[in-house]
Parts: sequence; structure tokens; C-alpha cells
Amino acid sequence: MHAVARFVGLDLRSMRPNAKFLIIPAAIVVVTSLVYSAVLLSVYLLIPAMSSLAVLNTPSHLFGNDERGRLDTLYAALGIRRQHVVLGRYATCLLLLIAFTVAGTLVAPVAALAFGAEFEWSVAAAVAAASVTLIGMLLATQLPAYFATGPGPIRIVATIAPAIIVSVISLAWMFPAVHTGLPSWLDDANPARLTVAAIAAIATLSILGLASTTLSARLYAQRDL
Amino acid sequence: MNTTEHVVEAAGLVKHRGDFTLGPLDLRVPRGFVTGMVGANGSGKTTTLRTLLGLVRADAGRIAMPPISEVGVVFDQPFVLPYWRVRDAAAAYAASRPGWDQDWFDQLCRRFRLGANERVNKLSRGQGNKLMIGLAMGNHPDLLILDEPTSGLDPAARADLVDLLREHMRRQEASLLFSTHITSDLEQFADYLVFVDGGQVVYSGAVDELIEEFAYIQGALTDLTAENTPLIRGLRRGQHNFDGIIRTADTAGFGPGVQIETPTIDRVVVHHVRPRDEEP
Repeated sequence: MHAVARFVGLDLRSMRPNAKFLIIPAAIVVVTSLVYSAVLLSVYLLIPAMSSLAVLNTPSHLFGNDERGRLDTLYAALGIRRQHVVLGRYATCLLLLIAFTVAGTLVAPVAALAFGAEFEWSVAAAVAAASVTLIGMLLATQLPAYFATGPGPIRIVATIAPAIIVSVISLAWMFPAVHTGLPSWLDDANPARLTVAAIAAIATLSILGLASTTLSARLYAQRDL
Repeated sequence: MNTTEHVVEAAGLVKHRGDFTLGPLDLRVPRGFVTGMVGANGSGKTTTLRTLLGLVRADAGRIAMPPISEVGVVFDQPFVLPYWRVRDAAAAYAASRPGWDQDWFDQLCRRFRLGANERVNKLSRGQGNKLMIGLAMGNHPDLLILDEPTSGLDPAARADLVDLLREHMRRQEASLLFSTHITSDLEQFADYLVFVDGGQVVYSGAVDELIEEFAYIQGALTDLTAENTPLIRGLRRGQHNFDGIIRTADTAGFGPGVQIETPTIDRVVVHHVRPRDEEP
């Protein structure tokens, strides 16, 4: 556990000096979703928009750093086992996914206040949970490809595929039936069914995450660095 | 070498990479000595070292190495982020290397004239190598594995590095595996030599024995005969003269007109990798 935490620290340290490459796309996503929110008078889209940074930007940045700095060699020289590199990288991505989602959830009520839009914490919590589940699933699909080949061959596909999915969701959000219907649907929904749905989402994400981590560990162990 | 305790032992190591095959290769690095690994570019030196360190997965064979926390590693290019500062790289090492000695690292930086705030991508190639050497030595490892650490260094810096490594070797138990194609670095420094050619170890033993086992020969073309020409390794024919390497045991096959000298490591390597005979 200590080795994984150490790796997460190293991962975050590697992002810090070059954070502008994360901040610029983040600013674009935030501004676009703020415009959306102002036009539609519905701020909940900010939450998945911020969460999506964890899949659109973070892995390509982290694996790009590995390639740029030959950090796979550094990890070996520092005695970090490959299995710990994999677990640490998953932990970093999950940590950033949660951080981005929390940031989106905190920005949303401020935006609602500014735009005079409605805001309910229960809806925001549901949207945040759905965002973590969806983006977590996309990450679970994306990360083994990075571990198998490094960022070079797959960076574009690995970024564009989730970008398309996120764009489709954003476009769907424009329909009044979706962005006005969701809060009322949540109000009307049976709490027991919502609980079952939440448990099912957590279980699916956990199983997918476990399978993905196992696959990544196997692929990375076989790679010549 | 069989009776010496070895800090690294590899047996039957094989790695296939495209058309190139490393091994089957047996390698032993004696504890407490400097072992030089020489060979031409593409001979398999770096693949061997990366395989020993587990960066490249061997297709076959067995490796015994000390724990990586006791091994300092340097490759010919820095493996830290280009936009990191020297102090960022040191912080990464300090967080992960048991026994990290920041005072010692700072001392090495002063010796190498590296500033803590200098960015890695602003360092020259030689300075980059020095940074990696400082990082590798920062926790006083028992074993240093250096792959072409002197490439990109000017002669004065190379001499300084060799002096530093000599100081490091004064410690009991310290061992050094040093790959280079600048064989002059090893002449007065290496105790043992591993000579790799075409993915195979062609010589592994004491440097003195290598120099005793081979002789450098030069003479007039008229001294060459059908009998003695095949004895010469890397025969190089000039307008009137020839030179090459022979086994010391074959000295009697040549007449009194030829000059036979103790070879340098460089001459053994250069002539060994040349074709057995080269027609004019």
C-alpha cells in the first residue's frame, strides 16, 4: 500500500511542473459547460463535464510523461514494482476523477446562483454518482491499452473515443426532456429502486475496475521498457 | 572468476528482439571489483543491462541480482522528466531510495557544477549524464550499473568521473558494472572485462588475462603467409604493411620481422569485431 501511495505521489509530482497542459483543456471544458448552463438554465452538466477531464486529459498526460521522461526506467531504478506502477496509476486516475467531480459539484451551485437556475443537492449527488460511474467505466476500458503499448500508438483513439461519448451526452442534455426531465424523474423515482441502481452501478464499476487492473498488470508485466 | 563471489549472475540469458538475438549468455560480475562491458554499437550491451534490471523481459535464463534499492543505475540518456529541475529529480529519488544522502548528492552536484534549480532539458548531454550519476550514487549503492556514462563527456569530465568512481570503489563491497564503447576509460580502471559481440559474450575474465591472451601484431605484407594469415583476427592490410590481433600462443607462427606488442583493450575490441581477413 505504501509503495502505491509513493507512486501516486510521484505521479502527482510529475504533473505539477507542466500543469498548464491540464489547465488549458480544463478551462475550455469549464467555459463551454458554463455557457451551456447559462443558455439552458440547468447547471448539472458542469458535473459530468468536469469529471470527463479525468478520461479526456489525465491518462494521456500521465502516460505522455512516462514516454517523455523515460519514466518507466525511472520506476524500475527506484525499485517500484510494475504491479505497483499499475495500481498507483489507477489510484491517481481515480483520485483525479473524484477531485474533478467534487470540483464540478461545488462549482454547480455557484453557477446556479449566478444564472438564476434551479439547484438541488440530491440531483447534483445523483449526477455526480452517474458521472463517476460512466467516466470510471471509460477509464477502465482505456487504461489497459495505455499499459499495453504506451501512449504513442493509441493516444488519439483513447482520447477521441471518450470525447465522442461525452459529446453525445452533452448534446442529449440540450433536449428539454432530458435537462428538465431529470430532476422531476429523480423526485418521482422510488428510493428503493434508486438504491438498487446505485448498488448495481458500484458493483459494475468495481468488477470492471478489478478486471481492468488485472489485465493492465498482466500487459505491463509483459512489456519491454 | 569461478572462485569469486559474484554480485550479479546470469545464466542462459536469451532475448529475441526482431532480427537480433542476445545470448544464450552467461554473465558474472565479481563483488568488489570494476567490470567493464565492451562491444561495438548494437552488440547487445544495453539489452544485456536492461534485461538484468528487468526492464526487458528475458525469453529464457536465470538472473540473480541484489535488491534494486542497493543498485544505482545510469543509462546514456536521463530518465527523469525534461521539465523537472535538478531538485525535483532529487526529491523523487529521496522519496523512494532507502538511505538517500542529500548532503552527499548536494556535494556531487557541486562537484559536477549542477545547480538545484537547473531544468533537466537545459542541461547539456554531459551534464545530464552527471545528474543521473549523482542520482544513482545518492544512496551509496553497493552496485552501480552504468551504461555508457561517459558518452557526451569531454576528456576532463571523463577523467573526473573515473576518479569519482574510483573513490566510490574504495568502499568495501562496492561493485561496478560499466558498459562503454570508449574502451580507454577502462584501461587503467577495470579489473574484469566482458566483451560482447553479436549478442554473445566472446570474452569474460580479468583484464590482465585478456591482454596476456592476445597480442597486437604489425609487420610488412611480405611477412604474411598462407599458414599464419588465418591466425590473425581483424587483419587490416595497408599498401605495404598489415596489423591485427593474434592469440599469444600463436606468436611462434610469425617470423622475426613482425612487431608483437601488448594490445590495448581498444585494439582487441576493434580487431575482434572486424572480419577475419580483409582482402586488399
